Amino acid sequence: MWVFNMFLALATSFGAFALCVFLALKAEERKAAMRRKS
Amino acid sequence: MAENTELKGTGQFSKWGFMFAAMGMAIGTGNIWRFPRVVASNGGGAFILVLFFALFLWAIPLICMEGVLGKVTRMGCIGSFKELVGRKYTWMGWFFGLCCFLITCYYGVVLGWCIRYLFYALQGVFVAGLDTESLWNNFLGDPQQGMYFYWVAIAMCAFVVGLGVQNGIEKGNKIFIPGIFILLIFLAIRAMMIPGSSEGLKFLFHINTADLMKPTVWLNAFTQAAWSTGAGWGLFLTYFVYTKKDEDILLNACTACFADTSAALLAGMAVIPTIFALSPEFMQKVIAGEVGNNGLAFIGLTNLFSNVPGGTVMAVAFFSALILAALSSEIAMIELGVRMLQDMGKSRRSSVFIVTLVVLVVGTFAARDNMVFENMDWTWGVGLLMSGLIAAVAAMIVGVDKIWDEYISPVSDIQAKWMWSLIRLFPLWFAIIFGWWIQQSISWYPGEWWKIFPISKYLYAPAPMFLQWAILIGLGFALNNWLADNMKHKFEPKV
Repeated sequence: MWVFNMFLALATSFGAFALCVFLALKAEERKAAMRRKS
Repeated sequence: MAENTELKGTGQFSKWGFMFAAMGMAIGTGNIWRFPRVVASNGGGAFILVLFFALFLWAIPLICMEGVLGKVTRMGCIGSFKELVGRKYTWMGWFFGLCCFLITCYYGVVLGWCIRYLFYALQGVFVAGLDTESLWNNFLGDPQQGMYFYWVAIAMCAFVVGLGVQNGIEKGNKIFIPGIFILLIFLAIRAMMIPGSSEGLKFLFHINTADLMKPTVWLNAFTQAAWSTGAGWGLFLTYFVYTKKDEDILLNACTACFADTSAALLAGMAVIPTIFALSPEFMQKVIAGEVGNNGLAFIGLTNLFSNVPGGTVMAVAFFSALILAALSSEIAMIELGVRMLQDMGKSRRSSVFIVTLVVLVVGTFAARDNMVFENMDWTWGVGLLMSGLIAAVAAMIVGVDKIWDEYISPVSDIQAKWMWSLIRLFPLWFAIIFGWWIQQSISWYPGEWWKIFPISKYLYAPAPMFLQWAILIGLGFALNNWLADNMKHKFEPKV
């Protein structure tokens, strides 16, 4: 059970962290595309 | 033009530079030496579970408020309260900023200790049979050594801050943050290679449902969220001053919090299995809450490093990680003071000089005398909870819905208003956590908790703490109008 808990805790923390970085990357791409258009 | 003059000396964060700097600010010694100790004495897995709740209920809303204050007003702690909350509330920004500034003065002492211990490790001092308790007590009892290493620590920080936001803080954190994660991953992998360490991992991640019912687990998890993430310290506020106009406040708050927790988990996976495998007796003391931060890092772990093959390499990695974590946080604290002086019209260069000088002078007392250090740590550490309350009250004065609609939502990719709206509940968490600390403090001095002098006898009593807060708040009230009149130089972002 503790192995499952360990992976769950790491996946939650690092996963949420990675998701935030991914969202930031996507936002940056979107803004760059808008700048190119204008 | 004033705008260009300031940008020359200060610079502005790039998107990724800001993300690294915010992580550097959040990840500090609290992740590496406090988290493993507190998680061990609060049931392991149950504590981690509650910590995730605490991030949402305490840290993320407070960081959002700091982001709004810094980004909307483009001024440091004092000026931002005057601009956004109202002129008559300038004193709130004074307490908010000065509380953290006073922490700057003694936090550098910790950085100095870590540098000293890294040198010990590099000199090969950690060998089998070393009496690590005597080594620590001798170091602590030598005011000259403590002072010199404190000066080295502050000089390093002042150098980075002096290079500017873009060339110093941003570039520095782009090295510090990967460095911290690489070192912690190395230490965690090394710990897992020690026979018997899996018992430590089992202890760390096993969730005992009975622990979830214990109030102390919740209280300690909330305290960890408050002190470890840096929410409500004024540091996020200061860094947000230098962000781009379209910087996402909520996304950055989440990024910093989850990076902070990830680093803490890695530190827990490095420290707890090592102790479990090498010294079950010492582990029992940690679980019983008989070991403090210093006892864990400088006595307990140092003892283990001295007695395990390859321990010197582990010690170098551990103290290097601590140095990088402390350095990235202390830099943010010095920048907090620098920003407040720049708001008063001082140049970047003279602001860095003045802040460094004041931090050196005040901190030297803490570096030379551990009693001063302990009293400052208690007084201003608990004061940070009060700073959190001030930020939450400020949000309510301005308007929680208004802040979301006008400042957070328009530039956020996370349209989760509930995350921000939880700030309405903050006074409730504050009353519980603050009340618990005060109740503990009273219990340490039965029948004498109201006494102040000699402070050396009542280091952790509530009365000296309240007295020092009262002096700071009284000064804030007295200087309110003067501060409001003089805080008028905003940072002008280029993009």
